[in-house]
Amino acid sequence: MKKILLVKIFSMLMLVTSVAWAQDRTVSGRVTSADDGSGLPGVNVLLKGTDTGSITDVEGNYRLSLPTTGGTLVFSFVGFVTQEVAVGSRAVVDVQLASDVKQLSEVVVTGYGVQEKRTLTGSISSLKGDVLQNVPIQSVDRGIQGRLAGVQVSSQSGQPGGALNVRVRGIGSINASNDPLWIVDGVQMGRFGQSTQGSSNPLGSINPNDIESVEVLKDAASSAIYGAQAANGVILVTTKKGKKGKTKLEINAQYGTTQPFNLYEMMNGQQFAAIKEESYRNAGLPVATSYATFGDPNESNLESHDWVNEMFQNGQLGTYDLTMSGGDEKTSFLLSASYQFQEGQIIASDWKRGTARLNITHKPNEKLTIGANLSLAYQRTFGSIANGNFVNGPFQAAFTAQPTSSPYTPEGGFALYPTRAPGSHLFGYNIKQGVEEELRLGRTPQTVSSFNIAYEIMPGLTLSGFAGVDASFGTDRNERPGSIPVFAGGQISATSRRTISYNTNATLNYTKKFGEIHQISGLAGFEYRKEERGGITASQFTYPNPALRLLSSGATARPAGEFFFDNARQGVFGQVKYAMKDRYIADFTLRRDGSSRFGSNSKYGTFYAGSVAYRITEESFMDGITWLDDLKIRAAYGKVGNSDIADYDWFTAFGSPGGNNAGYLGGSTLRLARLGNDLISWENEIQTSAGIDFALFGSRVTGSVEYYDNLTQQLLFDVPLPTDSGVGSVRGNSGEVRNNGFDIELGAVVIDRGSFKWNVTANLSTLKNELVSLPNNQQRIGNTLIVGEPISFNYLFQFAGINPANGKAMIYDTLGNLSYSGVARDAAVRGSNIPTYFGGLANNFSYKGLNLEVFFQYQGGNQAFNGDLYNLYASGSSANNQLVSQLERWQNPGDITNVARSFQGGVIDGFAQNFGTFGSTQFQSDASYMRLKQVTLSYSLPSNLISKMNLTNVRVFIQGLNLWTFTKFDGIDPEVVSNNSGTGVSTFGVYPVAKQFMGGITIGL
Amino acid sequence: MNIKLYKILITVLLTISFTACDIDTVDKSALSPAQALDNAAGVQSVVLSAYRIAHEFNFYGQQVNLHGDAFADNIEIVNRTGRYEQEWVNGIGVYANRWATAYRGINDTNYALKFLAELPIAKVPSSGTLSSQQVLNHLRGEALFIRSLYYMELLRVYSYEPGKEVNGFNLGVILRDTPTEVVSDADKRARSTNLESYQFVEADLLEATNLLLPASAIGAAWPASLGTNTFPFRATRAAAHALLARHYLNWSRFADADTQATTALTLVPTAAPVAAASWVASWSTATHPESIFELEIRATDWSGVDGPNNSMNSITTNMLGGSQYVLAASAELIAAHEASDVRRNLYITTAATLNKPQSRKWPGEKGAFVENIPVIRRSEMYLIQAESRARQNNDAGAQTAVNAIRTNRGLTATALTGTALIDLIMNERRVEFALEGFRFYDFKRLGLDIPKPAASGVATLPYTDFRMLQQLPNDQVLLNSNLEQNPGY
Repeated sequence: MKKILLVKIFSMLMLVTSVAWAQDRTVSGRVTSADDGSGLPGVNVLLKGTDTGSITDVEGNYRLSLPTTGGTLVFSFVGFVTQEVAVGSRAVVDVQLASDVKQLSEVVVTGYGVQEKRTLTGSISSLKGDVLQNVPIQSVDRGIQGRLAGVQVSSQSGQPGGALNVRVRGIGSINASNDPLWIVDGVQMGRFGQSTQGSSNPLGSINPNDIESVEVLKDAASSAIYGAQAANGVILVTTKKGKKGKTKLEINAQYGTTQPFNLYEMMNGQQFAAIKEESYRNAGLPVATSYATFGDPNESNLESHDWVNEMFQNGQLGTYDLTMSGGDEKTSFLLSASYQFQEGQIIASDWKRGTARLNITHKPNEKLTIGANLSLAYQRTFGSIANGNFVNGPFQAAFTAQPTSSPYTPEGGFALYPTRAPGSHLFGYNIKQGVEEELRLGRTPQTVSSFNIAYEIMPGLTLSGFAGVDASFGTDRNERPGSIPVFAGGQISATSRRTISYNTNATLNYTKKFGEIHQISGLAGFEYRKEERGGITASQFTYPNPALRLLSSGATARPAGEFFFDNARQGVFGQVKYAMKDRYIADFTLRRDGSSRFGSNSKYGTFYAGSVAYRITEESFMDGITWLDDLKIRAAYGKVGNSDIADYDWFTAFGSPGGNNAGYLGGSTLRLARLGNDLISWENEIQTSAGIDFALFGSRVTGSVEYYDNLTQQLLFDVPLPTDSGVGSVRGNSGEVRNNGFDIELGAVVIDRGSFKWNVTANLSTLKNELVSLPNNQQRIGNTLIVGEPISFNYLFQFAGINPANGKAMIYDTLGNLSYSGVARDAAVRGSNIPTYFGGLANNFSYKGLNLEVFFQYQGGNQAFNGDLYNLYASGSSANNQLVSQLERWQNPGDITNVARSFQGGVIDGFAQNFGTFGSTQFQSDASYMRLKQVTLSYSLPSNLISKMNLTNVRVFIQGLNLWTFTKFDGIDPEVVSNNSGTGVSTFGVYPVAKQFMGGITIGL
Repeated sequence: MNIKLYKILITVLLTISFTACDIDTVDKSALSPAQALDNAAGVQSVVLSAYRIAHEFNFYGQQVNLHGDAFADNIEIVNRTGRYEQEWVNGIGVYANRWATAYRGINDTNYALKFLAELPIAKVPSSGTLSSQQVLNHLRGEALFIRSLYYMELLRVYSYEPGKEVNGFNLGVILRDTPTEVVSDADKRARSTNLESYQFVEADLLEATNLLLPASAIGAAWPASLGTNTFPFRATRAAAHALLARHYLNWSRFADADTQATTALTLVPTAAPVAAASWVASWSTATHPESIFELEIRATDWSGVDGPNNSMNSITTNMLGGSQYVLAASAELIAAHEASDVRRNLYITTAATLNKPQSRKWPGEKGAFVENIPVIRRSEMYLIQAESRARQNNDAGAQTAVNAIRTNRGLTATALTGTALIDLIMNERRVEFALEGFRFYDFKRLGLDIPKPAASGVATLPYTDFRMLQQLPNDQVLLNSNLEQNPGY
């Protein structure tokens, strides 16, 4: 902005001076962007070889006096390729400037500042906000999925507005959190405060359309400035700011549908009754009992009800955005508002959000800048019970419910379930009634806001202050009306919670260039952060009428609960960077942090990073290699920390167990809440990385290749204690985990001919995760952690098929012999949930106003254990409806099949056909997948057409999400597979993601 | 605006960020052990926690009452939910979670015992009738009683009774009598022998009988500041003698068992068994009239789904919507009833019970699946007397004791003697304690094979089969190299 101001002043001087010269004619024109045809303000227009020049106005227009001889005009602008045009005799010279794909002068946001990308020594993956624009996602983390190397994003749930797992360069912690630190406009986001009535997202209050850029700080060199919070990576989200110029208004609207896909194919009534009959007969039980309970398959008009169809639906979604921005010399602003809603692909599940934002910056003079970023959001989640084997969860019961039982009575009310023998299956829970009648509502108003002030003490030296807060005040309601038999009388509970996280900092920035050779920049600062969350839960049972829904109407008092947690951190930090001739660059960062989570002797920790870069292309001996535009090699080493454990683990505590355990015989109970360890301190991660950045062939091909090795040490580990001590574990600092691999990013302009352009960006990351050591030099902890293996794996028997002689399921024992059952020693690590590679591939085709974006996302190398199959792949041995694949069951000696003999109870001669505790590889499958994540086709109306309507931009588009998936996984959705870590089951009743189709329009004026 | 104002602004902002640097926080939900346990009410709360753990669902709340029947021949699976199916066919490694639950309770009692020993007598309240010392002694006796209860439940699952070892395997359980206060207390211990373990429990219970007050001395006499203490919901002197009787019976020390059972019956407010006419109804009485020790459960002790998911009522009946009705009586159990036995009336067989004999011992009489769990009943004392005397060839004494039960169950007095009398008494135990978890252990403590119901399709389990002892939690064996797994696992 300052630059434009200076240029304007300069151009005014030019105009003044040019009057004094003898000028013969005038040339004028408009400079537009080759990308989108919009006028480019502030472009420098210079008559080559002279001082004569001008600057384009806000519309991109310029006007310049020339000698009669004409000459050549030079058009230059930051971020665009400089263009020279011979004027000849023309009076009008319109020019389209192409953007400079080199982007060498691109600026990226870094910790407490910005840096030019070319001088970076650390590893930062950056995503511009345009990728997130108008995509029907609810939170920014979903938008970066597959877009950035080294950043693995997977859904925890397909619930609209649901949570995701984001893992930067592997999984370093076992018992502490692996979530990266998210910072939105300087505000360190809290990890808590979400509704428990449905999966919800801590980033859900930020409208992705408000985002200017996302930067992921992946290595110690870039993240050590955040010291103790940086081990899991730091993700900086920067929202859009207003720009100087005419006030612009942009309106977006889109609308569409969301659809379930790849659901399990279940048996119909006749098939189900038949396999039940067979299971009873095989077990020597009277088939009459089977007929009475499940229906008689020989009955010609046996009823058949499609519960899956009852429970799943095509939902609607819509997004409406309005953004207004502008500014003048001193003040700029951006004001936005949005409303978004999405219905789930399951009945009675939806999400709504309204957001409002005001970002404002004011510069009263050259030295001072003050700003505020204010946001307000309101989210309303109607949740579903998911991610577990819950009989009252639709993702379990929609599939297991018996097709011979109707959801409805003949009168149209909800039937007792199952109709033939009420209560004999799913606890008598009619899932259709349960989901329709239960209220699971989470409502969360939230603000993520900050204030900042910067004062330039002297040129190159700036003092800044910052204060920001992430605060939410949520309420949850769960209402289970008495009309659902199992909740006779009715049960209502409510939770009210407040979650406040604030951080303040003061920083001093210094930059100084000594001659043309040495450049030094530095940063010093102090930061404080406090997180506090508390809340009250209450519930009452027994209501006179389901319509009376205040707790006070309930007759039966239930235990109330209150919780309160807080923690505080503070740190001092400094960074020094030295660059010589833009060629040799070194950077050093130091931070010292303290946390309330540790005992008095171990509160503080020191973190650091050092990094170097060498830009070979700046060397004179490289001048001859014209196809190589940029080549930089860099290396970094550092130590960063993690303290994301429970707040008070360091001291031994006696407390009330609370809730249902709070009393005996009317007296209160008190017990050991935890065994403390006042020696615990920071978990450390030693991060080492080295990489190459390059730009080739006029920067048509750009990319980077980087190797990283992260060793997490002194894990904040729940060290297991013998349970005969009465205590399960104690928090300690012990054990090591290693993550290493490559991050590869590649971008290419494949075709750039005429108006047709084809861009490809791709990324691939590899990951090897390994448990290096355990506390007390143990080699393993139970069957969940084994040195040398990944920290998460499936510990299973090796399935050996179905014995063709008798239809019993078999495994291989340790000696490789066939066996009908196994003991612990026969099970082994058969695969890991952690992907070994992941990435994305984006293609963008543009022709004039048409643009087609085709984006694939993939991950692989992971094995998932599909818990759903316990229920659905059981040869009809239980009361659950079965996959149609179970028709392939063993029936006669000699049958070759993978489906065991149907046998009521599933236990033949004392042998469980699903092998009980451990399970077998039969239910494990390769969860690698590649998904056509997004296809967007858009058309921008020509500017000459829309300018007549006084519009600056009109774009119409259609798009689809999750359109096609390639996988061998035998569950519904390979993207949602790691919800139940620790239980040994990758997936059980999960909420899968939906297909989405949208159409929309963007109008700018 | 003039520049000084901005300087003030920035100064204020910087000051805020620098002054907010207090990083000490306090956990409002907890105290240090020394703070929590420096008074009698605090220590009593730890004792109450040990009682509370005892009715968790993997203890007396459900599994202790049902495993003993499922492992043997008293039940049949009705609804195939996966639950109790492995237990029914004596599958491998089906029952491991009792270990950790019991030791959590034991650690509570160890905390209570340690801090009671350190508690100044001045900090213990008295009442008009009870001195501070009596109150202190009673609390101490309660802790010893509950600790014994936990150890006994561990021993009957994981160890052979002394003298009944197979292949000389004589390990008991890990014995701990001090609390885990710091990490080094949680050392890796080896199992004591079964004899040491039995002697440990015997000593605890003998001490408890001296420390505990009789039922008549608690209740209203208990200091008001310590809240409610009513018979039979907390330990009394009678309960300690009764538990000791059970312990001696398990140990086959029949003379001692008889003595303790007899003493217990002299200390309870009412000695006679429930009469035949009211026996069925006694099971739908909130407090079982025969209870010497009973765990009290309230609706607030459970979450909204605990009732349908885990209650005794839900597992054994389908009286309420949402019930699981996993277990019914086996045909063999029904057949074990004599013709006029009123206990047969406890079983209902209709279409609604899916044509299986459904027990109404656990009718959820406190509402919404909730009911108390009787742990020791008077009838057990009579049958301990009877069995102990019969096994010592005191047939007359045995007849007196068993007939006290029979005549109150609609049956005629028996005049059988010798082995026939013993068999009759064992059958009385089977019928009387069905779905109370005794059946399997009544064979095991005597070194006998386990009969299985025909419906299970499983052959008689020989006493020498390794499955007679349950598997110790595998993760504990991996973690603690000093912990020896039971044979065969």
